[in-house]
Amino acid sequence: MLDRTPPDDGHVVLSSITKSYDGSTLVVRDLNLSIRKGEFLTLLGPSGSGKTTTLMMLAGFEYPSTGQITIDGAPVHTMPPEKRNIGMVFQNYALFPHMTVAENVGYGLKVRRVPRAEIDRRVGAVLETVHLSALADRRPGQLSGGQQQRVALARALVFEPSIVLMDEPLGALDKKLREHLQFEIRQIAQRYNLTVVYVTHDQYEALTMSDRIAIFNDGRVQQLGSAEEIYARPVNRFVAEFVGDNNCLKGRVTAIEGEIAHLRLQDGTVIRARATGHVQLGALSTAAIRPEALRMDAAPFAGSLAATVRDSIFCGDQIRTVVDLAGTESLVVKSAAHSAAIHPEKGQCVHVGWAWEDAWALDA
Amino acid sequence: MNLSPSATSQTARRQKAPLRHRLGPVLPALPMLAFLALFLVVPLAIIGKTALSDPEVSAALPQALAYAADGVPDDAGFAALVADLVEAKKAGLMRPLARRLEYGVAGGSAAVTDLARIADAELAAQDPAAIRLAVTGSNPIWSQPGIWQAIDQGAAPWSLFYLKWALGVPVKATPDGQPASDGIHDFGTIYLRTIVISLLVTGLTVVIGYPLAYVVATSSGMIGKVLIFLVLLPFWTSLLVRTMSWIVVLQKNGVMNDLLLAGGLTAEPLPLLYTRFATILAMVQIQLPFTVLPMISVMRAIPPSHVRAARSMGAGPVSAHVSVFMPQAVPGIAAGALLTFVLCLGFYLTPALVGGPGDQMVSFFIARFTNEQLNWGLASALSLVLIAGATVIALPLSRYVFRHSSGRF
Repeated sequence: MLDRTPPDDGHVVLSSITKSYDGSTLVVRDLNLSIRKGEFLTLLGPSGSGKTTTLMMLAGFEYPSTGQITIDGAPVHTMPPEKRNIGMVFQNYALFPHMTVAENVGYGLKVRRVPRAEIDRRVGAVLETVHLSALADRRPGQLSGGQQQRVALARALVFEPSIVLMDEPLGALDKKLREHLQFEIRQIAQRYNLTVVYVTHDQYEALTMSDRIAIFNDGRVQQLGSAEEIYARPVNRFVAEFVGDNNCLKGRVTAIEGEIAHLRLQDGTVIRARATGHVQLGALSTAAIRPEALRMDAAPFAGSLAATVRDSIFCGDQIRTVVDLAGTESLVVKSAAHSAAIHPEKGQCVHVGWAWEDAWALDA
Repeated sequence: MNLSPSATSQTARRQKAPLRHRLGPVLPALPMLAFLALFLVVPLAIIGKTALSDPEVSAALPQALAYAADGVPDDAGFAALVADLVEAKKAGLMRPLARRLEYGVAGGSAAVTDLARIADAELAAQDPAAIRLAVTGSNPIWSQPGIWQAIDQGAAPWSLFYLKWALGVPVKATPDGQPASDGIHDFGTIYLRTIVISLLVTGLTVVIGYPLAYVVATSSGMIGKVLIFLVLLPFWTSLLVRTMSWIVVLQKNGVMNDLLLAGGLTAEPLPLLYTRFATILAMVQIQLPFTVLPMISVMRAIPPSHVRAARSMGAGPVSAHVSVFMPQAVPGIAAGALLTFVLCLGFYLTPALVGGPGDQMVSFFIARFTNEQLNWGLASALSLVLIAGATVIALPLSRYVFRHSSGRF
């Protein structure tokens, strides 16, 4: 994918934000985030990581304890939600059950006192966009989950906000529908050049949809970058473990040669990994290696470790092999199912290894 | 996706289950159904029977009835009357007859008592003209049409006499047969008063209860818990105690007057007790939980995200509340209002203790006719009117509530 991320124009800026509900525990700590006009930014993290609170502060339903939020330079963090002109799609959609689809979608225009005819025209147009024109007179209760989702989307778009927030909008849908709607949301976001801030705990959703991803944990942004960056160059162990699958080998740093760190594992084996800022001589470090970066062979090769196959799982397009190393560690190896690579049997002795650039020596 | 084969087979399998299986789900409710039958259906049937039964005249005066249809009868009618009375005296039917005829004509009771004093076998044996003279001599009312109309009124053992009375139709006549003004019991006014007081109390509990229910339903912390505790607190003291405490608060030297005097809002104690104000105040306090609890239950089910969604679309807090929250709370408001209104219609104790004579509702008169005047027929008829009225008013509303409650009640 090309990097289509727009340049940093400081469209929406969150600076030094902290948020505490009870005055002692911080849900968000020292958050600094600059959102670019027209970008699709995903806040990804486990539950309780502060991503939803951040979204709520952007929307105006929560106010930051300290710090400020600006949109195009103007501070908005004390402004009530109705003044911010930000569209929002809620988890479980929050459609009004006592209104028809058209009334739901037209609500934002009605409260802005847009003339009746204009409301009808714009509601009709946006329903067209989300393919719901035929259902305008239904009530939300008569719609399927996917249709409700589209109404929620239409409702957030109809008053033409420049920023749209989405709080796990696809969480309640099944996989097929979710993938379809992911694509549609992307299309719409691009067509209207929307700035989208999207909250999810589904990493695949984040990887496929976003221009940039902010990984949240423990109230902080752990890493902010494009999907490729986040996946290929994790900055710390949390990101490495949270995004995609990773093999983590813990060891003590015995030597640092330029970019290469040597880690001695518990059983004495020394492995090589790319040194990051976390690595200190003599300290503990975790090396993260993607399962697909591992090479497995029947014969030993340069830098390979001997291992025993514990299990081999056929997953259609790939084979996942779990191998036990000499010590207590084990690794998962992913190999393409159609490749000529070996199809290991349980109990078989194999050799696994990796290029040092593919392993990241991170914090312990 | 083709669903039809499985759908067809499902329809085919849905045959009627055996009776045993269909009754199964109802079985646990049987004790309650038995209870209802015994303590609701049976008493209702008895009330209905009492309201319609009118046996005194036909039992005591079987022969005289035939002569009573056209006002004052000829001599033969008087002879039949005396013959009936002689028998009635033996059978002990005099007292009920006197009471029943008094309902129909002013002075009817005295006329029966006076006649009973002279009616014996000796008089019955005399010729009709002499009997007539003796009867009219005992009490001149017997020569006037009023009492004969009253006898004709009670000709059948079943009649709508008490129901008509309870519905405000004039049933009592003066001795000369003109409708008597029954000024004490203007039932039309009493029904209207009952409905007006109930509506006022219902309206006030809704107005006071709505914000309370909103705060309880939407606040998650201590405030909500404390408020719900305060709402439920009155349930833990008896109705009588609560009403009596209003007497303490509202009496001439009570708390309220002390406060008003201390605040300089009034120069001398106000007559607060035994007024419509006291009645409504006490009833609102008693009914508030009944209005509030269904509201809370419905409001709790409204997701907070709905109001947030409205706000995010540009609606201010008030506008979002009115256009999104309130419409969804309407079934709860209706349920609470309905409950309070129906309960208010039957209020007895509170108006009786803190209200004045002009604040008494239908139940007060039902109790009075049952306990003091022993006019069970009228008491039963009033009860029937109250039940029917409450049903007519409440039924459409409760249908609405049930349709919109989506199984929450």
